[in-house]
Amino acid sequence: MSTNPKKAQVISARKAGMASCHVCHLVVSLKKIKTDNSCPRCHSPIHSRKVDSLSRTWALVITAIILYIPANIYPIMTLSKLGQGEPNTIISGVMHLIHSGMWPLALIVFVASIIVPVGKLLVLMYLLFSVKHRSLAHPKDRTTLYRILELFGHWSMVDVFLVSILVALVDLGFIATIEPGIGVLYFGAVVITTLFASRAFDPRLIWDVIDDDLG
Amino acid sequence: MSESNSNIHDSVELLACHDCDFLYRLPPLKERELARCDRCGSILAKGDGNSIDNTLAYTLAASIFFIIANVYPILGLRAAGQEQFYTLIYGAMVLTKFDLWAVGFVVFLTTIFFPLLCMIGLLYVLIPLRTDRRPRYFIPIFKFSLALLPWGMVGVYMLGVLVAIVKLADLATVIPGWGLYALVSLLLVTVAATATLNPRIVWEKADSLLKSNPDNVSDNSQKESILDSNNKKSLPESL
Repeated sequence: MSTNPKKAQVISARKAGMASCHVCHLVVSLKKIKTDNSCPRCHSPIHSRKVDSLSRTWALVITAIILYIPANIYPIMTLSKLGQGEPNTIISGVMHLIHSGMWPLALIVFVASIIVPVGKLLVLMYLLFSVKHRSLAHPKDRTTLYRILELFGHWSMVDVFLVSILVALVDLGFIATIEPGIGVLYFGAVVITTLFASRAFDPRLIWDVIDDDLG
Repeated sequence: MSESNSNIHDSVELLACHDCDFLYRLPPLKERELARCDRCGSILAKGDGNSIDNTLAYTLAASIFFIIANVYPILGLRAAGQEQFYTLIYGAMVLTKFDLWAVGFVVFLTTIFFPLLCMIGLLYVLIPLRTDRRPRYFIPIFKFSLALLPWGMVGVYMLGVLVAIVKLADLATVIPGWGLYALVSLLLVTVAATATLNPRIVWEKADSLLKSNPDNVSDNSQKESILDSNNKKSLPESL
């Protein structure tokens, strides 16, 4: 760190006895706000780090993993054509798109409904383990991974929206109807849970280990 | 370490990286200029460049497109002489018919209710600020709008609409409704509004109004806590 003069005179806010407000990002000295523990500018509670970040993130990650099982077992919608029903799970929906030659569409749905939620859970678990084991490796890359999570997490909702659109639109009596399945409830719950999980994680924990290591 | 500490306390505009907690003194930023964290690469701050005016303009445009997108049907379907359309709100409500009220409620919140509240909140805060007045209840309303911002998912919904159009193409004729064009426009201006919104500038502007005219604050505790705070955080002259 001493090689770069600009960095050398800068330290983390925590080491300087300061904290930035989670809401308005005002940097305040922790000594001076001891009395009511709230931000002088926006009155939000001031914490140096997100409260119970690791255990909360773990709880939400495990919840999401459990919910992901019924989300994939139960059909998310049933397409009935001329009286014949055809239940679709998330995976069979993607397969169906591939078989009917809609490759780009299959890719979008596959990425949004499978890659994003599964990848998100795997990355969060990796981050949680790396913080727990006080890893010093690649902190910048791990932070970038976290930022990508925050950026793409909500795109998994596309399947939930798709079901709601198709159900509302395709109601042609005997010719064709689409009914939602219980799977969409579980899948929606997975997406919401992972959104909360990534918000519960505090990427500054990655850097605290490095700060402590520098002394 | 003692030397670095004194440097930090001397500085006026402190900023800590949200992602790695490194402490910085914010240099004056030009319009559209970005300050990035040296250590982790995340964006620390954006230069002003009339952000309040721009966000306000885009949010006003968004509110018009929002109304159109909600009044007119998004898509229609034509098959075997039958034609039917659906509107944004029906897309959420239809799920309650199948006992999936929780999913319908989430769709309603993320595509209609949160974007609406967010727009109202931003308009309520930004219109007075633009004319140098600090609105009543500025703090809770602006905080609320910021918190809701990531939960508005018009862009994701739009992707869902596109997937639905392609998916249904072999089943029936899909007719785009006026609501669809409004939804695309809403998406574009929403992205622009979010990109130009610079919460740091809004907080600082509201702070500076409090300092120049403490009387226009609704509750006294708020006034005192800012003015008496030992946090010597002076604001840029340009505000």
